[in-house]
Amino acid sequence: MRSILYKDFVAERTVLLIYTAGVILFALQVVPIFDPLALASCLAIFFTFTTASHEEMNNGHILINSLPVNRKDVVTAKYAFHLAVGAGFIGLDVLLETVTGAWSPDLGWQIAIAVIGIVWFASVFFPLYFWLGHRFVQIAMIILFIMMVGVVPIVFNLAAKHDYWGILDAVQTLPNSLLLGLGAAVTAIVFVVSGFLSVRLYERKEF
Amino acid sequence: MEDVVVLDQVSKSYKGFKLDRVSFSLKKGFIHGLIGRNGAGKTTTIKLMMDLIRPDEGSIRIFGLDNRRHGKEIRQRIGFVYADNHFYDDLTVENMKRVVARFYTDWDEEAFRRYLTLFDLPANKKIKHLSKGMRMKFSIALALSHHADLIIMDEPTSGLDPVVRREILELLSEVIQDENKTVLFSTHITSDLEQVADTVTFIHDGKIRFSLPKDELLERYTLVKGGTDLLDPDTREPFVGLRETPVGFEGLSDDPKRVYALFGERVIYEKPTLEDIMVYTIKFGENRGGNQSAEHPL
Repeated sequence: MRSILYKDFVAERTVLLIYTAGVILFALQVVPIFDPLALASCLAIFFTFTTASHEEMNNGHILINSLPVNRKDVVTAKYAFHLAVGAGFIGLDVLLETVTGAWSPDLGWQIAIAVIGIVWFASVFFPLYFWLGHRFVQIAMIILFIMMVGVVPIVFNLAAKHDYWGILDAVQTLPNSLLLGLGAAVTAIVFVVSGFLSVRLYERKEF
Repeated sequence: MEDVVVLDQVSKSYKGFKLDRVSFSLKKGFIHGLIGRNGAGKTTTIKLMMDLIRPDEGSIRIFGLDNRRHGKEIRQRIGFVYADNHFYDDLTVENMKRVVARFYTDWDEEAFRRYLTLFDLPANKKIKHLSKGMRMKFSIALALSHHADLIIMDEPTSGLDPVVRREILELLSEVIQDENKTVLFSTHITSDLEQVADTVTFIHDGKIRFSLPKDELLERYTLVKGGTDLLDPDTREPFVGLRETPVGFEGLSDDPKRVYALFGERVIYEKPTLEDIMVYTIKFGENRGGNQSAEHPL
């Protein structure tokens, strides 16, 4: 699997560098932004979209599956690479925010939410990608862009205006450890199921 | 002789195309040609061998192992060259090599450097800036640099100029000097195979028409030229393919004795090329009125 990760790293290192520069600029507030950590997570998600698109463009699946690898390893490496990039972006942002003194009191929570977000994205993205392929990547990228630019800010403002319809208060009454444990457990279950499903789908795939 | 690859009754269906119960084997130490027109099923056969697609029925054994269960182990011993570019366009030759080399336990850096020099490949040039011929050479260099026992090449000479084609064919002839190596070479340029192949498998419309040693194949077929007045339902019978013009006919037969018995010295007999065999079987097969779809035993 290390060989596959190395392949992904070498093939995507220029793109990775560009996204990393983005994380740095946002974390240092060179480009002022409300929540750099959330944006770092979004960049990790966009990066995975970009790599998937790149892979399709270069017939990457034909190459990798002609090399001495198991399909299970290919899938595992995809998840691992996405998580590693996500963790790297979050880590970099936290480090820079700490260095610049932009430390937020609830940084721990923000990190937890960012990690959970990245894991959830992987859990949903990869099975759909292995099932539908390139078409999914193209359509999903457009939808994601529209959501990020158009829908999410509107929904967020609407929710804030209505005090999150009481959901936030209800959640905040629960103990932090319970919330975190519950969130982690559900995320872990979804992640494992997703991995299992992705391996099954990829093993059936024809190139 | 040891079988390196055995395809047994392998079928694969797509919309509008079916690879139909394909069976043939590749013997160790030979160059095997796989010929057929575009869309005949050559690439499908190769993809099945590489486990890129799965057969609907039948089995494929490579090095005595089931190609699905032991895919990783098998591909460790296969060098592959595909017609289409499957490398990352933005990587340089050197970086792409680094990526590929890490997958092989028996990677031979010295051999790779030798091929780079031999092919005059620039290590620092990006894949997207290489010509088709250069890309193909690079692909061949990778395939030959990890001591593969089986080299699978899908249309490696397609679209290349004659000089590059000749270089590749000469290299293949050198490779096969090592009797432990086996080459499968798919192409629709039959003249390439006439130069290097030991056996030829002809695939048409998803079916294997024959799989024979090249010498035996060229002995088996005869090209007959004569006047159309000699043709009648009986004399048409032994032809695999027949081309009639106002001035005469040319026909390919797989039964030279019978043809000689029918026509004697009234016609001209010539040794066909692989191209003749392919063209007459495919293009003029329907003109002969007889056993058009008869297949040779494998």
